[in-house]
Amino acid sequence: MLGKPFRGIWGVFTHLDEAASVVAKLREQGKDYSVLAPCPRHELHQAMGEPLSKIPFLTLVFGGLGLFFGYGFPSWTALDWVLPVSQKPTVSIPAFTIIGFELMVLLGGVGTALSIFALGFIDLRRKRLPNSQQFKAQNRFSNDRFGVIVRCEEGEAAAVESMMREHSVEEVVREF
Amino acid sequence: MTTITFGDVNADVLRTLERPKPAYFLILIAFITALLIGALSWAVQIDVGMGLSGINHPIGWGVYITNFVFWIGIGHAGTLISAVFFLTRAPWRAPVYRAAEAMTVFAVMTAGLFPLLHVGRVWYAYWLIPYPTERLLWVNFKSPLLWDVFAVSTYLTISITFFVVGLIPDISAMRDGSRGLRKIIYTALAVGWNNSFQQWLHYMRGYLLLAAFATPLVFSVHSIVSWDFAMALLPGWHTTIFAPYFVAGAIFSGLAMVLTIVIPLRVVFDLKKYITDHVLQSLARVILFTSIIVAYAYSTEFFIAYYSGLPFERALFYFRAFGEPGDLSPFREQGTMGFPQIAFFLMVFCNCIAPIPLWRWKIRNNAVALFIISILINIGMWMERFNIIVSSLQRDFNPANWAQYAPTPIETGITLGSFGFFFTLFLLFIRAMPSLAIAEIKEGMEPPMKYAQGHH
Repeated sequence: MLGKPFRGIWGVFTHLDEAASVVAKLREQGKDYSVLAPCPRHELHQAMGEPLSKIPFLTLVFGGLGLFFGYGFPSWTALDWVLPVSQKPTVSIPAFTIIGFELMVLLGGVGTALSIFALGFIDLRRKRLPNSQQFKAQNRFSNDRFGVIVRCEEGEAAAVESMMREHSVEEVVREF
Repeated sequence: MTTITFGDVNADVLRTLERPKPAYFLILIAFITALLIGALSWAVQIDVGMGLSGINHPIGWGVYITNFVFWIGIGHAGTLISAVFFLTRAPWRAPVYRAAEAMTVFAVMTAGLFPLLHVGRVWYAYWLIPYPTERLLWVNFKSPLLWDVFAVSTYLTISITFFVVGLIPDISAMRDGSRGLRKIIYTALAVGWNNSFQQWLHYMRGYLLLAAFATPLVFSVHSIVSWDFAMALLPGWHTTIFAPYFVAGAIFSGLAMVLTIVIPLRVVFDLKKYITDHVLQSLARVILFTSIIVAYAYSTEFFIAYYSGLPFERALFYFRAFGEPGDLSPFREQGTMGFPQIAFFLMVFCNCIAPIPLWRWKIRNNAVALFIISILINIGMWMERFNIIVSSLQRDFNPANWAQYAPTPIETGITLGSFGFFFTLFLLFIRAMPSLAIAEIKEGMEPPMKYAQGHH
């Protein structure tokens, strides 16, 4: 298995503002943390310091590839077997623009979708989540609870737990 | 007003996946029967040959191409709602976009069958794809028909991609709320989604970009479909108005189909607190707007045919509405009013006159009235496609070519089968997958806060 197994502490929050406050403090303290939420919320995004995704760059690469093939492939086939039609050009840019546009959208769209899951998977390898039965049984992060997971050593756990308790954490679990 | 919590959304959507009422199975059986009639008709056509369809020289495009254009048009509303209204931040889109997206995917799948049906020898359908052959021949990339192959296959792929990307977080919610075999299936389908904010971060950015890609696709696909006709020189087809005219018609018919689907959905699954009257009214307003564009396009077509002074255009548009000159006169000398002319008057009634009551708030607020109008629009838009395609082929430049056309029983059976195919897929979908977008509904709700007020 890639990456280190999880060591740290995790808490379950009922309220979004409380979870966001904890996240903002963890960020200030430079802790290694992850956040779980049932839907994307800008409050959490702001608390995390508005990190960026590399998706737009990958979309540009895939879309550019599509555009290249969309013009390149029809042009090559037109030159491979020349079919003269009156005075019309063999390589017809207006006609091939449609193919170029469609392939740009096709490769760009599919590449973007694959990138969403590939980057999410890579992040999960880098920032490991707890693997305990207790964590797996906690199935409300897709429902109505917010989770804050902190990767830390046993000595730091007490301070993190106390901070979580200050912010009305519903449940705290240490895993070492 | 009842306050809905995050937990309520999950519970309400999970409830739609429980064992449905017997009426569901009766409706499903009816649509499966229609599907089987279509499959049998196709099998007979393959066995006997294309002579069983009504298409023949000069009417090479009949009901099959009508169905193709109709179903592609139906598909447009899903992408419009999920992409265009996402970018414009229309707040009422969230409760209906999942059903609309599913509708898009199934409608484009249905549409994709018709070129295969139309070519007759379906086992040679792969000739449409550019692949290296021993004869070193390539497909003609300058042909609008090949543009269509690329446009429709890209549209189907992107629609499925958009649909699946939106579904995965909701499937993870279903996974966490279910047990037994369902849990195993949803776990596999959720592809490791665990609601971590890193995943949401990539998801939000990726979804925005997918919407940005899908938005021009909404307008380009039906434009390209319209160029199948507009690139030809036939009277009634060779016109620059076709692209916007087809796109407006596609959005019009697609949104009507969304109403046809979501009105029963919200009653059967008791989803009125999500699919509110305001949502239906908003859909009705867009339908009304596109109805005006479509009516304007109809009148422009006729005006330009008259104004151009071209005898072929003038004669064709007279024929579209009234049949042969003399048909409506008391001295009927030649020809009869055929199916294309009946289609014309149904088209005008259903697409221009039937939506007029939507100007009234009371009608927009009445789900039954909206449902009836949506059905009429669906009929009207099918008739529009039929009228455009068939009437021009019936009357080209050379009177020696002129002919009549009416759908045969095999074509009618296949058309019925297409509706069976579409609705069977949709009914199976709402039984197996969340028909509301859980995460997106939550995103638009007031979040659980202890002190601060949430922002939207």
